[in-house]
Amino acid sequence: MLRFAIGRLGIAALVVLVVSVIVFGLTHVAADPARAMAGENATAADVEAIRKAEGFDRPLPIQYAEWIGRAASGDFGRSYLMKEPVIGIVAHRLPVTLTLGVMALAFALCVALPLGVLAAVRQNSLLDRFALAVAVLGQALPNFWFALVLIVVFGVWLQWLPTSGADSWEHMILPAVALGYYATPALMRLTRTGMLEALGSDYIRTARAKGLLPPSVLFKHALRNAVIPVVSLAAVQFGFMLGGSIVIEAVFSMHGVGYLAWESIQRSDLPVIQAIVLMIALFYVVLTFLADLLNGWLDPRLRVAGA
Amino acid sequence: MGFGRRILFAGMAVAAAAAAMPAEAQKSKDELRVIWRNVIANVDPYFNGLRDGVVFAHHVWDHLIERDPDTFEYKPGLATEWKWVDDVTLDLTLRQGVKFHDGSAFGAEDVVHTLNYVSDPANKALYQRNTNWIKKAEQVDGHKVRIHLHRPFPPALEFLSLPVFIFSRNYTGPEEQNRRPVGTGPYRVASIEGGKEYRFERFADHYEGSPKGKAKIGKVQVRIITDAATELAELLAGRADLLWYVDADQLPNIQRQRNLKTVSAETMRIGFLSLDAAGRTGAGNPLTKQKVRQAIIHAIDRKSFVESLVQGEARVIDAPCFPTQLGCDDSGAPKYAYDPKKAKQLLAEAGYPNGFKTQLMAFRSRTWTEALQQDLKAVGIDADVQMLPVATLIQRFQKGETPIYQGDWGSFSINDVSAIISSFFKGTEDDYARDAELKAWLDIADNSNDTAVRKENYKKAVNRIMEQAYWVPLNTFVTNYAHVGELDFRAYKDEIPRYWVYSWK
Amino acid sequence: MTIAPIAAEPAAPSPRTLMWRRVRAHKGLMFGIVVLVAMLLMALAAPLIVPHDPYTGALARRRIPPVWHAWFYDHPRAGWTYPLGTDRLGRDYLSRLIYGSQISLLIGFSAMFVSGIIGSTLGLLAGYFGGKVDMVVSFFVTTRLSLPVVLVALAVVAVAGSSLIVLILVLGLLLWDRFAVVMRAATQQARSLDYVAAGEAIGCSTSYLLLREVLPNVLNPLIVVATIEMANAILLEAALSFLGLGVRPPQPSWGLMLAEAKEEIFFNTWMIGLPGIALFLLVLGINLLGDGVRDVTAPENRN
Repeated sequence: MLRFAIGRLGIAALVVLVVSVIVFGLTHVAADPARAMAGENATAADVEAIRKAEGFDRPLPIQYAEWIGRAASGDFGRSYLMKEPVIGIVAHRLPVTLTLGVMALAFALCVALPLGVLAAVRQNSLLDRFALAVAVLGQALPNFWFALVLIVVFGVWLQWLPTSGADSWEHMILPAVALGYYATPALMRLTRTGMLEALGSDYIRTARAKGLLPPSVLFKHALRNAVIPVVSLAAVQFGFMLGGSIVIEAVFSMHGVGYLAWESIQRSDLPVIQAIVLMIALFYVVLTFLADLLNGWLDPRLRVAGA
Repeated sequence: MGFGRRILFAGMAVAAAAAAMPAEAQKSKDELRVIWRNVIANVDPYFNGLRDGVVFAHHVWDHLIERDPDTFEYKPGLATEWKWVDDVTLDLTLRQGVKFHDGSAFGAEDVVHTLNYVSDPANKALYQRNTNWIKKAEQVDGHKVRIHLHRPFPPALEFLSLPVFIFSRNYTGPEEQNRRPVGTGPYRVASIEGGKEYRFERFADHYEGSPKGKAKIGKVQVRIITDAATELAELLAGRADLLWYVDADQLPNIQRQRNLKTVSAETMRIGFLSLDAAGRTGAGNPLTKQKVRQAIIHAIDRKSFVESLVQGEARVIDAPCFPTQLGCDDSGAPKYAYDPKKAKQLLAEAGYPNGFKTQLMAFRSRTWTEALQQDLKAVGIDADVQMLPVATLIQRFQKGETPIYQGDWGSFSINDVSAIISSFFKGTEDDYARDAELKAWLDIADNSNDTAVRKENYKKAVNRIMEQAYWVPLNTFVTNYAHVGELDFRAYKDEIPRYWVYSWK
Repeated sequence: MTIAPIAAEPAAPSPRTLMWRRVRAHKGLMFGIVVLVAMLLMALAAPLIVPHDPYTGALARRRIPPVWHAWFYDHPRAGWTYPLGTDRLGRDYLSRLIYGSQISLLIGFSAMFVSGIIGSTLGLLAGYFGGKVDMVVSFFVTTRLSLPVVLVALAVVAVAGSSLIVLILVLGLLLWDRFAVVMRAATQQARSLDYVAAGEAIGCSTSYLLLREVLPNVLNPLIVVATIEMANAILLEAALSFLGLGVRPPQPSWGLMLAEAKEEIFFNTWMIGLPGIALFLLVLGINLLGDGVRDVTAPENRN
């Protein structure tokens, strides 16, 4: 297990490094940092002056080394636009996105796991069909469209819930539902598929034949096996939510990291984009690392194969 | 049919009633809830170029000279008197008894420090043009200030009354200003929350005799909501009192709601197409031919564009400037009527009887750009449209990569063509004409204090731009506001809503 | 378990016939097939069936509501000339919806194809060989996963412009992770099955084992993922459109039409409703197709 963990950790570190190269490369190739920094109405002379002053005329590898060196100690430079340290800006926005992500994932799992298990156990029942309908609907609606519908119904017509901002937990409900609902189908399908396979497998049949009670069969054996891919997917989905909450944050006007990223892309605020992508990458890596460990713990077979 | 209709109407009525229900009477709370569309990167007006930031600044800080928003007359602001000593020296007498929001007294040190800080290129103010005409400010005595200019700068007073806000002597740059903005304006900043909410409170000690006057509404809450549909939801649900930049197509429907009103007002912003006459995107491209550029103006149905899309008070313009701006004289310039036949004929004469392919890049409104694309297509010009984020697009425009650029320009509300024509036709990277003679006229006009000389040379410049069809001037802009009925609201031509003027009915 | 008395059934149906029967009995699958085929036909025959040119309009006839507004609200401008109304530039909404199917399908299929090939190849290799290969593939997958899709897609499209090719490539190159993850897990499980081990023991070649033994056994999760990703690509395109970076004008995609009409949601619901329904039906069809194929071919259904 330790060897397995160390191997995964090595990969994780390498991934972050590669991502940092990709991010730095992409942002420096895609946009001219000097010009981006100079702002919209700067003259060519201004841009050249900045290029010299900031050292953007030096070879990229040197600039990269300097950037990653400072980034390692948490210094991502200053935002071109806000003229403030990037790390502070991102840290200020992070709680909104994290809260949203956790609430959305919680919502998704609360819907997906029970529905998925029940759908598998009562295969082809009315419940299974209902679960399928939930899955199918969830996947077929563009999330911003769903979000707008939520706003019209719960915000404007019924006036039950606030539709913009992130000031209280009530503000989080609609966005979390809009974001989480989108992740629900995949999780539920996988739970159901996994459960069906587990229930059909030899050892469950054996267990049933031995006369074990259905609930213990369900939870001890079937769910444990069915949950393996679900854990992976949930980790992936959480990462997806952090990076993908842009649209939801835009619709509900939540000033989280996703929206900050979109603003920064629109205005070529490179240090902010770099910091956000790298930070999200770090989240992903940590999450998948934990998910891998959990998987290895749940299914010893993977440990052997993966090490 | 009748039955179905009745049911539908009933449903609509319920929905509409729910939609128009005001959440609570804001009047009793004396708080105006406004929604802005854009996040202001930094509230320091020298370090952001957004309209929302300009509005923020007008509430928190004051100018040495204030411009009347209706008559455009200059009125004594923080300075009670001003006098030109010569072409490059301006003396100002400051008002006494003015207080900053933190209670400290205003004096010459504040003015001198502010002007010297923002005009120093080392401090990297975002729009150097706004301040780079100031050479130095010096204190004559406690209430007298002298400003030295680098060169004669005719619109100096216009700049002093618009982009040049006066900060306190403790000003240390944008970072601190963004945290604790301190000014002398009618509202003081109660709180700033990371580009998502601003709260203002009436500054009771705003100076007596201010042309702005004291604020009538006690508190203003500004929230940033970036999605137009969400913003409208807030208004319909009674959680906001004032929106701006509302989609023109929604105005009639909003107006129909009980308790909601809309106002649509023309602003100084104009829309235009910049054509690559200088061949910056490729030497000898079709746009370098005068007849092709003229064909493009003839091809575009600007009247329908304005009436159907921009709507409201918007007008078609025939000069590359806002009609009231000093020097914006199109009387000698050719007018181009909507005439697709003539456009085709001009294209044929220029050697493109079957049209050509080009690129049209824009950021503002996909619908508007598609309308232009459609018109161009009708005469055979196949324009590949790219909608880009504004920063990306401006970078590409300045790099010389945009054959046709659809832009708009608000001239910082400065009522002088130097704020627009001189920005785009003086050989900088914004210049796709690269016309030396044109630049020479502009140089004369920009550096003269003689209004007649200026007008004459700007007229020549306008004529040349229109004859050569360097630009396709499209339209003036309107800003659409929607607000609750209890608010006594009015709009201004300079695109700056003034919350201190508004009151509850 | 049940040993069927073969002789008692005189004309035993062939496996193919059995399969076809199951397909026809599966309502969801049939619905999926019908919707997808109908949409494909609509996309292919678009130039033949559209009532108007989807690209040119006239501002004079903009925002005409659909024909039912003439029935229920006596709207003077609504009528059969433009049965589903016109958009903000006066272009026929029905024609644009029909042409929109082309773009949405093209993006969905192409992106799914690109991502499917990349992802399933990597996943299959990783799951089968394990060890170093798995490490390398895991590395690729984790790297890819750690790049946030919407963010990177936005950044690239914001700079490179949103041509169809760019959109397809960006989405394809960003969406293969789920293929790889699911494929890897499935292959690992398949591989630990006895018969593959047996195949290895008797010296079957690796490619034979991969293609003949492992692949058929992991096909089911693959199909489910393929449908998810195709739907995903279509919806992501819609999201990019929503943020202002959709396909280039004057091409219509359903996602774009949705995004363009978002401000109309309060007063002209049809404008956002119609493309919404079209997109919903398409994605629904794709999903039901995937589910159906899975159900019909799943081993546990073959008694």
